[in-house]
Amino acid sequence: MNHKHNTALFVLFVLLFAGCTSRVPQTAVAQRTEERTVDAAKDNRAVVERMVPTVILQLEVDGNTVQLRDAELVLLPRKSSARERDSRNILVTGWRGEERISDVSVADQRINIQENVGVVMEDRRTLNVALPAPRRVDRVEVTLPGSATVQRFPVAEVFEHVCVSQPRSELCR
Amino acid sequence: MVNVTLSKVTALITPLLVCIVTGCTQVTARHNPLYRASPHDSEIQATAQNDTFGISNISINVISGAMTDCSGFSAVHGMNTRSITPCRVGAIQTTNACTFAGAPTAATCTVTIPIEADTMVSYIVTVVAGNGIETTLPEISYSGGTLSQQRIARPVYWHRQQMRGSRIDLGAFPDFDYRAGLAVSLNPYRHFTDDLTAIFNGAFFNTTDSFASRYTADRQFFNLWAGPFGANAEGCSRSFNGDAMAVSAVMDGSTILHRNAFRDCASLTAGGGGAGSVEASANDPAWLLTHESGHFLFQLSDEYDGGGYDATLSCPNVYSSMQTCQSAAPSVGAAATQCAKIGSQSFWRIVTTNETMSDRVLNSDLRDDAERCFTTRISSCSNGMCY
Repeated sequence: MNHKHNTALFVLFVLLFAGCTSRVPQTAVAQRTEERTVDAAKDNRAVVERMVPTVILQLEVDGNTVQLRDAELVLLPRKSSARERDSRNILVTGWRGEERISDVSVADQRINIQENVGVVMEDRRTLNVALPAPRRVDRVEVTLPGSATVQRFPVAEVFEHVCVSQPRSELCR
Repeated sequence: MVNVTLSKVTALITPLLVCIVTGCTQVTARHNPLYRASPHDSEIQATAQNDTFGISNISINVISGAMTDCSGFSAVHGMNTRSITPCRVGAIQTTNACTFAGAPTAATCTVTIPIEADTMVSYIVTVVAGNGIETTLPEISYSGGTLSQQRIARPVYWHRQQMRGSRIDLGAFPDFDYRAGLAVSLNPYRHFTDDLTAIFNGAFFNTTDSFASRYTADRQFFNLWAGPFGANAEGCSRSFNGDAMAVSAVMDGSTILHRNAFRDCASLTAGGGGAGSVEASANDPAWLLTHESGHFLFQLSDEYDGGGYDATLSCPNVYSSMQTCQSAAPSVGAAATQCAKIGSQSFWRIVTTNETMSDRVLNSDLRDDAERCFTTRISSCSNGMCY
């Protein structure tokens, strides 16, 4: 009897406690308290201030041969990345004469895993690369993983449109 | 081992002590739908809980305007070149507040935002607890109504104020097969965005299934994007052309959502533009995304018999011998006795029940060494450089 009484009290306590600490949220629809126009420069500052000219490259790799399929100049917020290069990655560097302007390390997608098949080597793969170009680059150099051979591609014409009209800009000087 | 345990205990106790002293306010916020490329009403919902002092007020600060390619900003002197990541013009900022009488333990506040053609929305949620202490979540930006032809990355869940590189940029692209068959006469991009929303919700906004627990808990370290048409996947062959090419170039990882059935495939890469496919028409596409992105974002091998393995990676989750597996096990809190050969393969793994790289079940998770590879990468993100 005593035991049953205690059990009932315990259940009551649990129910009361559960009720007091109910996690069902009280819901409400927000009331608009303020409305104002936003200065576009201020609104986009975080994105625009970090913008850097960037060459988007499409590389087609077949075995150890690389071909440049497409190159286009865009703007992109600059990206922080580790200085240490992953030895499995492809290194793409931008050059102006003898000056190294920038580099980016991109994943080589040669090694793949297909479900219930296993490792699949794709000797022919297409890679899309965003190479920062804070200053005009004349050529890009591509180094495949495990290779000492550098393959070079001219890209000067990507900058022509901008640099003809703005030859003294920081990008084109 | 002792240090790892101590740091885990400290990590657990510190917030608990803070909660006891100040009253802990837990806040989550999300928008729904995550992304739709046509005009619609979008709902932003913020939920807060404070067991000690309750919730007095939730305010949702919303900025909404037209999404552009930034060409009007002359971000770089003399250049009106387009950006792949978007800007916004003509924005209106509104403050929307919910006040709760009696400071309930948990409260939810919603606001509806009209999404018109090419809209970008940002929201910041601030919660005031019953003791007056404010908690503010970082800004989240997203877009909607974007025309599918535009050469721009459409933010689905974007930490716009953070440096590129401090978040993992994951893009989803529609496969060519969304345009095949009857789908052509319907709205193929809408079909894709519905799939994308369901898959991203299932992987990053899912507190029910354990396979999504890591991505959901750490989604503040991801930016999620929708890409335009131009991608195609078949087996392990993948291509990104036209508008999709430029957008995929700025991603740490790209996934091609497809409707036709084939065995999914992903590059074994750690970001750097790795990619994979996800069968959106499967029963569990969000699990598939988690598994495939385990390959192309975190360089994880399969752990099931008949999968793909590489024991030479810098953060391995399979091993070339029993000895190397047993040596590695204690460092991830596992016992050496948990090491076992993967079927008839020449690889070994640490066996824990229901692992996402091994078991296609919703109650799987990234465990032991796979968990370590994930948390190490997320730690790099919190230090400002994911890769």
